[in-house]
Amino acid sequence: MGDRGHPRPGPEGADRGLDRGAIGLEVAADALAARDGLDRLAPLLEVLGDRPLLVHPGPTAGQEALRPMWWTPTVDYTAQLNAAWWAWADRGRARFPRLPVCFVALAGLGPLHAERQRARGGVDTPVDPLTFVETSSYGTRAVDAVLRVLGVDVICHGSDRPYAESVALDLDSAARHALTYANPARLLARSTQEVGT
Amino acid sequence: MTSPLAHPEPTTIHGLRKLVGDRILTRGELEALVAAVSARPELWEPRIDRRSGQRMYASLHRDAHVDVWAIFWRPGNDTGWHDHDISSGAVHVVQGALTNCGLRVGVLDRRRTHRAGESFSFDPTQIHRLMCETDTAISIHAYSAPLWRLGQYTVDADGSLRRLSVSYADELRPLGVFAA
Repeated sequence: MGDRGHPRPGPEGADRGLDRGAIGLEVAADALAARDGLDRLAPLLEVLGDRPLLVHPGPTAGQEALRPMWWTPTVDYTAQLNAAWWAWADRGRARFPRLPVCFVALAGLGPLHAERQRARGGVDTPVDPLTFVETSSYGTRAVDAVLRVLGVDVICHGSDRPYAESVALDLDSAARHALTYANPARLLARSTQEVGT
Repeated sequence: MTSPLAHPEPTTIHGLRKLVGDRILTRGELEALVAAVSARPELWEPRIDRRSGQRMYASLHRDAHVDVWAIFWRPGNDTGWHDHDISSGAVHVVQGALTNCGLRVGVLDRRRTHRAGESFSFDPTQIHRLMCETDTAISIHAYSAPLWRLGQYTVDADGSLRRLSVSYADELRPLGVFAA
């Protein structure tokens, strides 16, 4: 069991899941962002090979009853995802160079902090073609802002179902095609090849 | 003084552009960058499908300050009139020939054909159009700031010039009356 009572399957369990048809694994953003997160997750990520990893918000502090219902997705989840985005940029990609990764909810807008990261001593690295973000319930303004930083090739159009429906993005047809078809196809390339065989 | 980009190292586009500077590049710097990338075919040749029957774009690199592309052109390919919003750009023709047309009001376009080995550049204020003049052409492009949005232009029946804002993902082609 995990720290908060959530199941923490080992690599054998992940292997079995992938053998039974799972196309990848999902990990909690707070687990990836933790100081020893990569070390603890490494056995799972090694099982994945070049199958995709989805980074999704993990459990929060449990103060939801004291806050409006939008608080957790707007404040807690985005903070977790931002931390996970930078944890991956810091040491994750170098350790797992071939692993396709997708951060949900535009990685909590983590990519927009790049100027600040560089101003405070971070290194300017090229956009990583294997690190994707998914749009969740974000709309055109946030997607366009992230597109300006990451380019159009690593953003996948998703949804926040069952909490919020997919948002129709006010982008041109070429950008919509990239977000809806071309980019998810690259993210899931290994999985779709396997399904096709 | 020899350009730092003439040095045989480093061997990646990111390494080449870091020699220029970690900032928005000038037109001259962009021209030097596309020439340097063009001179290292191992950086772009694997991304070119010479059997393609249509224009093909390959994104070679993108960072906070510059993005670099290889474009494979076929006969008759024409971008239509467009601008690059906030980006300056430079093009180096590796193979074949491209004509760069500058839009002018009330007079004919300014046209110049660039052949293999030649570079040209433009700033964000310029409205231009590129056309392939040969059976095939290959060109290396760099933009700083990295491409975000483009303006595509059409002319209404009454002569009004219209600008359509599109993402840089749009495969540029002639629109409306300008297509003729």
